[in-house]
Amino acid sequence: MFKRFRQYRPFIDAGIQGSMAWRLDFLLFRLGDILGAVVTYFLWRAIFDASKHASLNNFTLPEMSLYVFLSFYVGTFTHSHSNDDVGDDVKSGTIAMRLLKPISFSATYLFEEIGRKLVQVFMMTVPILGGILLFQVFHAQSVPFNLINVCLFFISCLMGYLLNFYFNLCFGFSAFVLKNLWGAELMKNSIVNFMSGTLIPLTFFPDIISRILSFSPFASLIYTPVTIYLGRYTLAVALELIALQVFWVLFFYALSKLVWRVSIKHLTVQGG
Amino acid sequence: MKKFLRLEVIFIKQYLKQLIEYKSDFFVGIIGMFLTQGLEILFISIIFNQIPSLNGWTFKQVAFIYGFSLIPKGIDHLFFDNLWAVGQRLVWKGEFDKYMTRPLNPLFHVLVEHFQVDAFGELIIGISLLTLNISVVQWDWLKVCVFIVAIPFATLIYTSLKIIAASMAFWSKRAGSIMYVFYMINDFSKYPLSIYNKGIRALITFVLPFAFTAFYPANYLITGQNFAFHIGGLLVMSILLFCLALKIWDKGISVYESAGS
Repeated sequence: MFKRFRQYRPFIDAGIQGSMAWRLDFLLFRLGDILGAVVTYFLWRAIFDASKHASLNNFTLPEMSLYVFLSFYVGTFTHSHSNDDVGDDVKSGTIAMRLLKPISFSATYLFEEIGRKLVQVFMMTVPILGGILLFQVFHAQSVPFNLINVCLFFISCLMGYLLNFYFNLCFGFSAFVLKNLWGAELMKNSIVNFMSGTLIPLTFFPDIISRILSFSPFASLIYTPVTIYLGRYTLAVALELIALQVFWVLFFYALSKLVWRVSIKHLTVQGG
Repeated sequence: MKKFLRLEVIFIKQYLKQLIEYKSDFFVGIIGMFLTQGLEILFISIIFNQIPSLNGWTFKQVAFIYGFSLIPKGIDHLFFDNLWAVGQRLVWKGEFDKYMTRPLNPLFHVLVEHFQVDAFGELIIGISLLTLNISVVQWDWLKVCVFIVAIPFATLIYTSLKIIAASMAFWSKRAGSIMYVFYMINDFSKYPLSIYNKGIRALITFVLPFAFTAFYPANYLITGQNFAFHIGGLLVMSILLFCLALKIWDKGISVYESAGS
């Protein structure tokens, strides 16, 4: 096990170096993303102002504010680039070099991205999670800090990331068949944003839909970690939800193997 | 002028040929844009189930403002999307040389070279929202004229800001991230401005005047108030910004150095 991990160590290092080189770019992109969260925050503030009730679908304004910024943080944490990485390699033909190496093809992408993630999550955690903790100090009654929930939150984020990685990998393998992925990616992102709870908490949907969605892999990406942090569940329920996440990780892991078998037959390396 | 129009037609023809070759990509792109905006409207309508009005604006008015914001954005996206390529890779990879060596203004060439049909997704949603909520405006001839004039000037604000952001690539080689930050700030303009605090309102009115691309002109159409600021401001801001953009672009071109290989 340890020896196998050593084989992938260079990929982690490459990922770290790569993201260090572009760290300013990364920060600017996240600044752009957070502006989207700021718009949503102000919108919610106006909505709570306009509403006669102090809480909407079980969310108070402080909870909703935390929800908006936490789902932004979780979105960055679980974001995976694997579909683009595969797509780029297919387009440029460099995928041939990866296929020649006597190690797991998809694991090379995973470890390279974990390297990048280490740097990025570190850069994000200090300002965003710091801000969230500070907010909790000022609103101690509404969302009390709970260490167990924070630990479960990080485990849940990690599962969300792995799920997203294999989900995107399935998607990226379709680049072997389709050549241009930009539009398909846009389509995928907007659907995922809606169903994962990034745009609006799932409890705002009609009861049946929100129940179905909460079992879907999309909820596992954003909604599950965020609501665990907010302390919405008892310990037993939270563990069940994490188990559901693990199930979805395994499911998409298996699916990515299957899609790979089919799509590899369609691979044509153009130039190189 | 005639020469420029003829060239524009040639470029669009070229582009349409490409489209025919990648038909499925074309539809997937439009549907993607359509879904992105459509789901956000769904989000707003779910929220309006809970409240009667947002800072005094009804759902129909908010939807009208939102729809208005998509028109200049969509037009800019449709015609001038190639500026992203300048910021992201043309300068960085030295491919910008191509534009410098042709007997044509480089900015004009960059702008007309590409034609981004994905924008139809935004335009379709924008036009439908405006049509469905056309009753929120008490139309008269003046307002019809204002609407027709406001759209191109609002587009000019978008395009000018995009030119400025893309020009940064002449100094820093890559400007994709700066363009992205600029672009995300326009998100503020699709809701009534009164929901934001003073700092943000000042930012999108005077520094990056995205508020003039949607909220201010739509506000005039809906309420009929403050013509001088809402519409006059739009004209002044867009022209000033365009002059500034041309200045910065020219400065950028003068420091452009090709990349190796």
